[in-house]
Amino acid sequence: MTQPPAADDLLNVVGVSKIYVTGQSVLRRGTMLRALHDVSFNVQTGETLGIVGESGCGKTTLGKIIVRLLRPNTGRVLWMGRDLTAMAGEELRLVRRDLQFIFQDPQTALNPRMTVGEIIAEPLRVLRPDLKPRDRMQRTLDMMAAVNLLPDHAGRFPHEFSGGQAQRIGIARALITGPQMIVCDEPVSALDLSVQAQILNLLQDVKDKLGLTLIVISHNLNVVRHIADRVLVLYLGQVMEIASVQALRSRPLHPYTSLLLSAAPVPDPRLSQLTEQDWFDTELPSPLDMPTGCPFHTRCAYATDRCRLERPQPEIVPGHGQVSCHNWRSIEMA
Amino acid sequence: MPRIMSVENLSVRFASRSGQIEVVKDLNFDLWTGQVLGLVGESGSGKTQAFLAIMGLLARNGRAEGRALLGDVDLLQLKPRALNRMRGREIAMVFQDTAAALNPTLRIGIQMAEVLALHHAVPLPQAELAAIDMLDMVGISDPERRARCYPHELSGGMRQRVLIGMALMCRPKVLIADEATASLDATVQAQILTLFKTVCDRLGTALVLITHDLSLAASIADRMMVMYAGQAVEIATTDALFHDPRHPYTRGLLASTPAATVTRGKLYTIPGPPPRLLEGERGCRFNPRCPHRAAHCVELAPILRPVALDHQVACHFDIGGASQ
Repeated sequence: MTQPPAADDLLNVVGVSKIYVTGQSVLRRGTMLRALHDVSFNVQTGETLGIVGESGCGKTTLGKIIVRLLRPNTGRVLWMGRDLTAMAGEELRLVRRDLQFIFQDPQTALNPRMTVGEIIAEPLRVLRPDLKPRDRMQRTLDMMAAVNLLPDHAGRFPHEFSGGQAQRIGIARALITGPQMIVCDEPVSALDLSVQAQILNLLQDVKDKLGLTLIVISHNLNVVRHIADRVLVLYLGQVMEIASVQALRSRPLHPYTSLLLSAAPVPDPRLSQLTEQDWFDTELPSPLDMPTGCPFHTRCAYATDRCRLERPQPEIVPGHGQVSCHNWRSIEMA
Repeated sequence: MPRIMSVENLSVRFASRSGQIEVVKDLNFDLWTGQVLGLVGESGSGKTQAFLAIMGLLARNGRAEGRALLGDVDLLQLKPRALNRMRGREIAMVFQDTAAALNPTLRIGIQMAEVLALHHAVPLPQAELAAIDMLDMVGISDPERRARCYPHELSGGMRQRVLIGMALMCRPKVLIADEATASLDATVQAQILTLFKTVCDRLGTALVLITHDLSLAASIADRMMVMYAGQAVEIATTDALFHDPRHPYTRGLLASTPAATVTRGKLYTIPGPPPRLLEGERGCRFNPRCPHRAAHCVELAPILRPVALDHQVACHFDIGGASQ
């Protein structure tokens, strides 16, 4: 079972599944792609939750479901105890002020025909129609200052900005409604190294200053380990492990987490063990042709018959988090 | 260990409306048999353009100067026909976008075989057998069947293996991998890096790993070259570069890399924007962002000089050193 919801949870994701139908036409029934399968977790107020996984594991779909850019097929998303998936109209609009999203590719996430000032102010126009234009302007300038953009940038267009600055614009836009939680989908993966550091610091700064709750989605384990308190590991749409960053560093419990950790390159040649590993030659199975049982069994060195047949349920490990693996105890012994 | 290639005073200029842009300036380095050179730099540092110039693949408004000696042949002086004979045979390149680099209408076995057929006049059926052997070597299971696949039937990681295999068909002396693993997942990336290492060990290929990711280079490179604004600012063994970096830019890059060992806390950031590359600017190109800037840094461009065995730095100062 997963951790039951607690009083200071800001967000509860309960049994969320999402199915896409691909290749459907008048003549064809299409194929089911199970992007997320029975995903549950909780996010506490003020924490930073990292979500990691390889491409196609459902990270972005999950992020979009959390902010109601997508709806799950089954399951619920509770925002402060209220079901986000069932909301509509004014109620949803009020929640959208509290729940914002930062996109992966900062340049394409900005409308090229709007000025930076208009882009940053737009959420206010939509979500805070009660504000006077002058207040809107003032808040926009305040927010630009908060992310280190200059006031005269407001009249310029997105193409005049570098990737890092464009991401600052995206962050300002997400912050302007005064949200409680921001979901960041690969916030730095499109940026150069020295700029990544600036944006990571900025996210940490605004989080501390404004008391935000963050969800940071990334394929880069180093980034997530740097910024997150807890990490959720997704594989083929299913939660493999949820663990605190400290626990993850000392002993990952799920074999997939161990694989991910050893695959992440470390910025120190003396610590690198990349080329000493015996890498499994098998690749990620297609989500169109999902393995039965545990989704990871096709690449797992410890797979048993049970893994091939029976999907492991999440098991709470005190002081660690949770793990979905039939054999984690015996693996840990080994 | 024999030296395979030496690049001398390589400069690349582009004509643009705002004047000549010098994207690579006075680059000097050597490649050695079986060694991996990690070439790191941020976008616009000239790391890709330097090797496009060496491969004769610059855009039309680009001009390359200097020498790129592969054995005793200067690649920069070759006529297109002669260059075509070298490319693919002596020196090959692998790019990031695997889907764009393969012909979508040809089965991969044929595409790979073509390389041998063109360069060594091997009859196609025989070349196809060689292609299957190569697929096996780059770690593709069931190579006979995969050889009959079209590119879209393979995953990104498998396509990258095919491209690496294709690049190796003629056993080139030099293989250039330009962000070749950037679009791949962590576990697949690890597989490809391991494959690179195996190839260098087994075939004696000199590999140039062009990347913006220091950690990635750390895992397989023997030597490293750090570029900033078109210039090499530091060349060293990988161990020295990570444990005894001497250039302020290298130190800044390392400090701004999120590492597994330290969580939280502020990452170091290099202040200021990357430079504009117009010609005729004096001084060190890093000086506006440098914490150690002195008066002469603005006036005089530093040249690459040895500071230790197999360790060169382009800086007026000798900052750091392991003792500090």
